Amino acid sequence: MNLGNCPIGAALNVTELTGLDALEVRIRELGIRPGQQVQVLKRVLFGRCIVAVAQQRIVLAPKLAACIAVHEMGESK
Amino acid sequence: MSCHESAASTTQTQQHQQTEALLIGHPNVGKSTLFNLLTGSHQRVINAPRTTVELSVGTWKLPGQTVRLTDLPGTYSLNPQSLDEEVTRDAVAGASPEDTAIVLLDATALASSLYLLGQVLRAGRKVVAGVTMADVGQKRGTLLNLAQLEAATGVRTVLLNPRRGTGAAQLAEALTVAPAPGPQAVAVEEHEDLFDWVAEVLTQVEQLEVPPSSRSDKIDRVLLNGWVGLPLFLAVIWATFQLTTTVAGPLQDWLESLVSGPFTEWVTTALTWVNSPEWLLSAVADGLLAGVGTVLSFLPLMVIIFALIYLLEDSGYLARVAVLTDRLLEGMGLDGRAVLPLVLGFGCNVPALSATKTLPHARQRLLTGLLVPFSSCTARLVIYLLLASVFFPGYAGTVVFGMYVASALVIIGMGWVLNRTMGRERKGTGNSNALLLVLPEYQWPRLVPMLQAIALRCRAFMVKAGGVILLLSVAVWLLMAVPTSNDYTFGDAETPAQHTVFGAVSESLSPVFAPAGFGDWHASAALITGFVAKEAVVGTLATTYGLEEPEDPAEPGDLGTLLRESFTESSGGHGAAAALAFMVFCLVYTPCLVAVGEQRRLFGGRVTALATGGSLALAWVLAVAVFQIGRLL
Repeated sequence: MNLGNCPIGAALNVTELTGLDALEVRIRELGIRPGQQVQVLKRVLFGRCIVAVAQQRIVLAPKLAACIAVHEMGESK
Repeated sequence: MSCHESAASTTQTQQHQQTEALLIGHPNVGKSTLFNLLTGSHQRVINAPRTTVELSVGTWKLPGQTVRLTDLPGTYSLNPQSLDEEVTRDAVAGASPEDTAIVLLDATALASSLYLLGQVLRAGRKVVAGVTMADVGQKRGTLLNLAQLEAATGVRTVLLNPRRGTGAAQLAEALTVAPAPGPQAVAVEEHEDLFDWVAEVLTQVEQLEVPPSSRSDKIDRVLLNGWVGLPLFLAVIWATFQLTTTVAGPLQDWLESLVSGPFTEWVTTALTWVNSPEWLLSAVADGLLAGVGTVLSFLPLMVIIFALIYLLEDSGYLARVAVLTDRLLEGMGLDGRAVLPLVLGFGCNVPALSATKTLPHARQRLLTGLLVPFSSCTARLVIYLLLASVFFPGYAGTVVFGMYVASALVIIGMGWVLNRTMGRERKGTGNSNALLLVLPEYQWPRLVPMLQAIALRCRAFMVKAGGVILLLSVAVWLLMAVPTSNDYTFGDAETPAQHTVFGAVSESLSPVFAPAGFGDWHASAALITGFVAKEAVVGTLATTYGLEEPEDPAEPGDLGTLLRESFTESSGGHGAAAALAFMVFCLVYTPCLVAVGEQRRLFGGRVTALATGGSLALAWVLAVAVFQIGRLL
C-alpha cells in the first residue's frame, strides 16, 4: 500500500521511499520518512493527495505518492 | 571643526557598527513581511550573481548599529532543489563568520524548520532564531516554550509576529548578543544525525496534543473540491478583470489625459515663455511627457493587481490554485500558480508579468514571463475588430474568437518548446517537475503590510520599468521628428508621417512583410507604433491614410475601404489572408514597450532582448505561414 492508494483518514506509518530520485531528500526533509506517522486527508483533482505530517499539510503529485509505501497503524507489515 | 569635535565624531563613527545579516526560512514563513517591517523604504532589489533570482537588500537602522539585511529566497533546506534555493545555499556558504543568520522557525512546521536551523548551524554561522506563526501553532496544539527551545538548540530565540509588527525590538537585542557558533554546529554532520538532533530537540520543547482538524483543513474540504474550487478561481479572475476595467480603466484614462492635457499645456507654456525652440516643445510634449503619461497611466492598474496578488498569496489561497490547476500546466514544466499570470495576460500583459513573482522558482518565473506576452491582451482586440469587420464581415465574431484560440495555442506550443529547450533547474529526472507543495495556513491578510508591499512594488515598477519606457518613448518621437524632406523642419508636429524618418523606416521595412501579404508602408508603420502600444495600431493606420481614427473599430468607414484596397494590392488579390496574417503578427510580436520595460525589470536586458527578437521572428514565421496557406484556400 502506498500514499496513492491508501484509505483516506487512516493513521499510517511510512515504511519505505522508493524511486523518488532527486526529490527523495526533500521529501524526507519535510518529514515523510520511514517510521513517521502520516495521514492522507483528501485526494483532489487528478489524484493529487493532501498528506498531514504533524501539523504540516503537504500536497503530492500521484507519481510521488505512489513511491511512498505505508501501512496502517496497528497492522503488522 | 575643533579637535574635540573631530575626536568625538571619530569616536561616534567607530561606535556605530555596520553588520550583515541574512534572513533565512521556509516559504510563507513571514520573511519578506519581516524584511519590509525592519527596513521600511531603505531597500532595493538586486539579482543574485549570474542569475535572474532577485534578492531584497536593505538597511535596518538601530541605535549605534546599522544592519545590512539580505532577504534570501525561501527554502526548506540547504540541499537545493531549484536555482532560488541554490542562491540561498550559496549565500549561507559564502557569508563571513561575523555575519549573522536570522533563521525563522515556523511554529506550525517546527520539525522541518529545526532541520533548516541545524543545517545553518552546521555551516558555522552566528545564528539568531525567530519563531513565527506561534499563534497558529498554538491553535493546532503546539505549545512552545522559548526558554526550553533556546536551551535545546543553544541558539538565542525570539518570538516574532511580522504581520502584527511585533518582536523587532527583541530581535535587535538578540542580534547584539548573538554568540559565536556553538559546539552543536560540528556535532550534526549527516542527514540522519540532523534528523536525530531535530527529534531530540522536539522531545525537549514541544508539547504535542493530538493535532485537531484545523480551520484550514475545513476550508480546504470545500475549496479543493474541483466543482467548487475551479469555478471560484474563475470568479476571482472575472472579478479582477472587472476591477481593472471598471475601476482602473477610467483612472488610467484620467491620469493620461491629465498629463497629456493640462500638465503638458502648463509645461509647454512655460517653455514657450523662455523662448524654447519648436523642436524642444515637441520633444517634451510628444516624447518625454507622453512617456510619463504612459507610465503613470499604468499605476492604478498596478496597484489593483499588486493588491490582488498580495491578497491571494498572503491569504494562502494561491497555493490552493496551484493544486487545482497543476495538471493543466504540468506538460509545460510549470506549476499551477502560473495559471494566474497567464490568464491575467488576457486582460493586460504588464501586470501579468508582475504576477510571475508569485512563482516559487526562477525557471518557472522566466518560462511564464516568456509566455505571458502571447496572451492576447484587450489592446489587441481593437485590431482584430477592425480587420475582421473589414475582411470577414459575415463572421467577424468567429474570427475574433479564433484569435483568442490562436493565442492559447501559441502559449501551449511555445510552452512545450521552451520547456524542452531551456534546460531544467535540477538535472532531469522523471519526478523533478512533479507537484510537491507545502500548503500554508489560511490567514486574514493585514492592511499595513499589504499597503507597504504595494507601495514598494509600485515604486520598483515606476523607477525601473519607467526608465526604459521613457527612453523608448523619446526614441519613437525622434523617428517622427526628423524630416526626410527639406520642406519640413526638425520636430515639426505637422510633418506628414511619410516625410519623416519614421515614414522612411516604415517604407524600408515593408518588403520584409511582403511574404506575409502586407508589404505596405501603412501596415509596417502601424506595426512600429504597435511596438509602443497596440492601442496605437488603428490610430496609425488611420493617420497614414490621412484619416481620423474611427470611433468604433467595427465600423471603420473610409478606413475600411482604404485598408481593403491596400491589403488586396500588397497581397496580390488575397486581402483576407493578408489581414489574417497581420492579426497573427499583432498577436505574437512584442505587446508594448511597457511590457518590455517590465520584462527587463524582472528578467534583465539580455533575456528581454532575446524575447523581443524571438517574438518578432516567430510572429513573422507564423504570419507568413498563415498568408501562404490562406492564399491557397
